[in-house]
Amino acid sequence: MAIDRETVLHIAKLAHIEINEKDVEKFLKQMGEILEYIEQLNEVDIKEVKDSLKSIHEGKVMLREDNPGKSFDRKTVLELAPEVEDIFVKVPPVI
Amino acid sequence: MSVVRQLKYKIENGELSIVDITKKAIEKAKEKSELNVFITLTEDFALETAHKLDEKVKKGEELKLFGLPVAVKDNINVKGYATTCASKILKGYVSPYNATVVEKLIENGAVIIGKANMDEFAFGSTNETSAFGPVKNPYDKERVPGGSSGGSAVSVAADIVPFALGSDTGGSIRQPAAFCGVVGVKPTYGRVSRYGLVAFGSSLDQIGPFSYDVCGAGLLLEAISGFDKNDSTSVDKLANFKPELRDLKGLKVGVIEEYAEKIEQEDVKEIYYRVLEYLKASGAEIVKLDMPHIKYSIAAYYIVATSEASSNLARFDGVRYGNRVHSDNVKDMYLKTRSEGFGEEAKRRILLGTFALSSGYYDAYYLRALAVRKLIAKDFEKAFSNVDIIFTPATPTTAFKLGEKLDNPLEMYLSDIFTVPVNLAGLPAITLPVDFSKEGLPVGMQFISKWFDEKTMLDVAYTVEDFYKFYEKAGYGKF
Repeated sequence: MAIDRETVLHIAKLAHIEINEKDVEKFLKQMGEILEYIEQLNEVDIKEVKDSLKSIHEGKVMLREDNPGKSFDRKTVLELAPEVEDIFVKVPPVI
Repeated sequence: MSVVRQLKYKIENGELSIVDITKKAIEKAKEKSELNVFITLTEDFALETAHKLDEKVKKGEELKLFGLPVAVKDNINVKGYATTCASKILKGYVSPYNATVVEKLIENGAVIIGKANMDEFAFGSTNETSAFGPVKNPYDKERVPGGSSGGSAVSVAADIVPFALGSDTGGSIRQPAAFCGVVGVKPTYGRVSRYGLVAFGSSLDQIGPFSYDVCGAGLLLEAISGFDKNDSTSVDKLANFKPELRDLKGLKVGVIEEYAEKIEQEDVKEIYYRVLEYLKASGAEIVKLDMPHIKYSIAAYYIVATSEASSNLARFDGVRYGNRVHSDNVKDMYLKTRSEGFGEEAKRRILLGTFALSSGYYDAYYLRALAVRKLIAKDFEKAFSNVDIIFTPATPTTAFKLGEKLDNPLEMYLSDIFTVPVNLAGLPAITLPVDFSKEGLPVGMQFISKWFDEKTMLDVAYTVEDFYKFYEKAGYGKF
């Protein structure tokens, strides 16, 4: 399918990615080509496939018991953050 | 004899110490810096480990990985060192923990010497999307090493280390291995824990080994395999990966006829048919496979992989770790951090994935791609009810020139045609270097096994390797 300019801008907004004028044209063209290639999936008869969302992999996926265990200490985690105040990760105003 | 085992004997009879080999590996990494293999060298950690291991060897302790040096792709966490994923967005991130595979490397007596360059977040087939610049192919510096685990492949191909770890989502171990003339293995999905690997496509990703030869790859695979409580998709299954020569008589080898037509380069095609003739002459029975859905692999893959990537990469927002571009409100901070932090291919994949998962397109793209993926897996299941192994080329061409495919993403995606179906089905596969092209570039072939039957694929590859002896031509193992 041909993808239009508005759709590209809408997706970019959803993905929190800013794209400039020059790049919009480029992405538009490239994504258009890729999606056109992907169109061929429409030829496939998928009526018989009932369980597409189920994992194709063997075995059951097991969840761990919810037991408390050792975690990173606060200092280690805070050291990774770009901005910290006291014991908190700091971000700019939300509103 | 296996090059890796020769190094082991040199260590055992005191000809070389682990510290000697480690120093030599680091020296070689520095001498060959124009190849741009490493983003970070973990020199201090390596030497400290090497000294400890030499002590262990003196006490008579057996080391499963013999104290040999290993390069680790820079999307796998090593405690105390930066994990960059070759992206600007992770600037400043130093991992507070080891990935499970890294713990296993340490337990089994390997020496980690550095973090290998890669395509940004493993998005690419050429290693050109790295924010740290492209890796060069050691056979021709004007050419790409393949990707996304290009640094890992070249670390072995340039004889810096005998072992490397990469990750393979659509061919990211096997394609660079083939382009650089080393052995690369993508294990069965679930064979190796993904804990501590930065996620790209969670239902497709697997960590796997590179080595000079099949024996080395098997050894490293065995060391990193096994169930891990931190990865609910990992599986507890017996893993004995010491390859053995096997009689190929009666072995049922599946071939996908239309694949031969997809080989774009005459000399690659010629080598493919030559190996096929060798298999036949050794008594293998060649079975033509009917796999009607395999031609849809690339289309299905680029929906599934980008959808999962867009979701996995949502976490990079400048809040808890990595780089932050400051702004006076939080939404703008997300936007600026992500826009400046991600490179072009990462943005393209995030956009494509976001599109496929967005309201109005989800059923038509994402769900349909998943259904086609199921059909591809069923094609393989049917094929394996009748054959022991599947033989295919590894890549349609030899390594391409730097810049050749960079502006045409679709063309680059299509170069993964032989490797992608394996990830969609969760199967194990190995690429084995066989010979050189007319231009002197390595050419690799691929063997695909049944789920969790890596042993068959390693044995067959080992037998073929014993005939072609590529590792001898390449002259690996000079320490």
